[in-house]
Amino acid sequence: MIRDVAAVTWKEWRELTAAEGRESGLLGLVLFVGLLGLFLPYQVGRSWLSAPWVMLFWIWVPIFLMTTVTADTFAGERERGTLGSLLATRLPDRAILAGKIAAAVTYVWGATLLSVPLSLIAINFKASGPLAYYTPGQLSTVATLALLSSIFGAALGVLVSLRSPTVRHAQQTFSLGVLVAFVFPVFGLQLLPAATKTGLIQALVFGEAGRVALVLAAVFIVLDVLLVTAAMVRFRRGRLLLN
Amino acid sequence: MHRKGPVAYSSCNSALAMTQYAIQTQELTREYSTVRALDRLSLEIPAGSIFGFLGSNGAGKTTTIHLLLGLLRPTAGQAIVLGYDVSTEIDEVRRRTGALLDNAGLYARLGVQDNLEFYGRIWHMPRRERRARSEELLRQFGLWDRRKEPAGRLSFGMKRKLAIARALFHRPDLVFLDEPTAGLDPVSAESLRRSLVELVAQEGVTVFLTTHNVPEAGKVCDQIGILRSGQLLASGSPEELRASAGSNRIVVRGSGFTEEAFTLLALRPEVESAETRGGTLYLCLEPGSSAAPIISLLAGCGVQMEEVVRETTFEDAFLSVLGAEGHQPEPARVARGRFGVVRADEAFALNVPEREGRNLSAGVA
Repeated sequence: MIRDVAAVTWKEWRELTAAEGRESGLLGLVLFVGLLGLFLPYQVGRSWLSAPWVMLFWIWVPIFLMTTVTADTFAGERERGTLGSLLATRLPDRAILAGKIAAAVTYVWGATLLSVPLSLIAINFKASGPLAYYTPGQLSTVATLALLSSIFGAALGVLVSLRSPTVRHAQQTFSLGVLVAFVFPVFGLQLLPAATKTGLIQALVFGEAGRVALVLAAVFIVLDVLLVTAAMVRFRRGRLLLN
Repeated sequence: MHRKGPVAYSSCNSALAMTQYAIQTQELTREYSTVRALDRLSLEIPAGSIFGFLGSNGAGKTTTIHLLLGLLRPTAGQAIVLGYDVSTEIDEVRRRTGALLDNAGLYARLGVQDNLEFYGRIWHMPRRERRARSEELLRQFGLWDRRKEPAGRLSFGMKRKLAIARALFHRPDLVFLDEPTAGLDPVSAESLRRSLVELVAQEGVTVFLTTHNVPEAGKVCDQIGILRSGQLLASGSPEELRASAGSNRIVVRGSGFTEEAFTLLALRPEVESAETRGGTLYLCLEPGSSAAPIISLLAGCGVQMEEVVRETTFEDAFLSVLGAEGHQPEPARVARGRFGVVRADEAFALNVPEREGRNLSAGVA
């Protein structure tokens, strides 16, 4: 099973980094890393390392980047006519699914982690005083949250891609879903009692980052399990071909 | 049964060793809402053979492949592939088969060799074996020099070759090829056919090939099934199908095809057409007509006949099975066609002056 997953992941990585179309892929990656790794930390300064609300960025950005990566997983194969041949191989359903999710997660998570040292450079370039750095705890928090949100984005993206006839359709649906997922809580916040709302905002701005991270991690672990299970249930060879 | 070579059984394939058939289907049926794409298909395909599934577009050929590969579930019936039940042991089937589906299914952004490499990894082939096998196949199909190029840059014919190489890469016991030469120019198609036949002979793989190219099936396959609207109309070797179809075409080699002979031929109701080319008279008779009276007539006109052959091309046999109406033989194709057995009662040798370049209408006029 592990070799099967590795084979699919290898293929997905080769496609993601293939010479043809590499320019547009690299451009997106550079913009992403530049925004998360340089621009925002430079603007925020030292508090980028410790402010609880920064956790939301480590969650949001991987999901945002997933839009382009995962839309292609099944919808792209279907559009280019490679899906039938892939499904005719000996690969188990779960290996195909896991391989595609693993490739998307490692790609996006890797890009996210790449922005961590860049952010330190940006912060230290702007700030005066002692050297700013991540503690091991902060680093592991960032890595864990980014990983969990990458899995969330990958599973959601694959689920959408499974049902989409084209890559464009998958991208649109996924973007809309992400938009709703992030805008809805903001509007929902307005409906909460004033005291609760203030408490939440204070926790995000002045609270203990570790506790916020724990809550977010717990939420995303549940979401990840639900989405990956849904994708496994949804993935059926015969149905995919008929679609 | 004709075998191209030894059947390549994988070491773990005990089920296949127990059966002489690579594929057995019984009453296999598939319906799409109101349409019955495949209607009670019962087939037995010997291991080691090249089986051609002939039929026009929409006949149910691709549906059959999808059913045999477990990509679709049958509405009714059963299929046994390499000794494994497709409904319950599909993993075993897929482990031992390769497929080129209607779409070549190549990864355009991956290199030519990487497309093969991926399939080698899927089948857990060791690295060294993957390298050796890809070199062997790419050289055989003339793609070795382009191995680093993205597959998307290859010509259509090269893509088909690469897709076939990929289907054969892991040395399957059975390979499904869905219209492998569709869309190719005649030269590329012939080259691909030759490569395919050579490979199959070398590796002893069973081939299930679908095509709507009748001459191709006649050339390449040693077993053929003819499918129409989801129903199997006939199956057997090309020779058997030709023999069962009979023929309404007579080829007379000799000399002395006079105007008088043409005039008399034109008066015969069973003669549909007649033409001479290169000292040979090509006659097309109404289906079911006997050639003997015509031979007697020619003899009476002084035609000197060296040889008389009742001829059937595989295309004739195919159309005969389909019951096509209004099929007219083409003389140019007649000259290239395969010849059936010369019937002793239809062979005559007479002495008539030679006349060439005539056809029936000219003769009558």
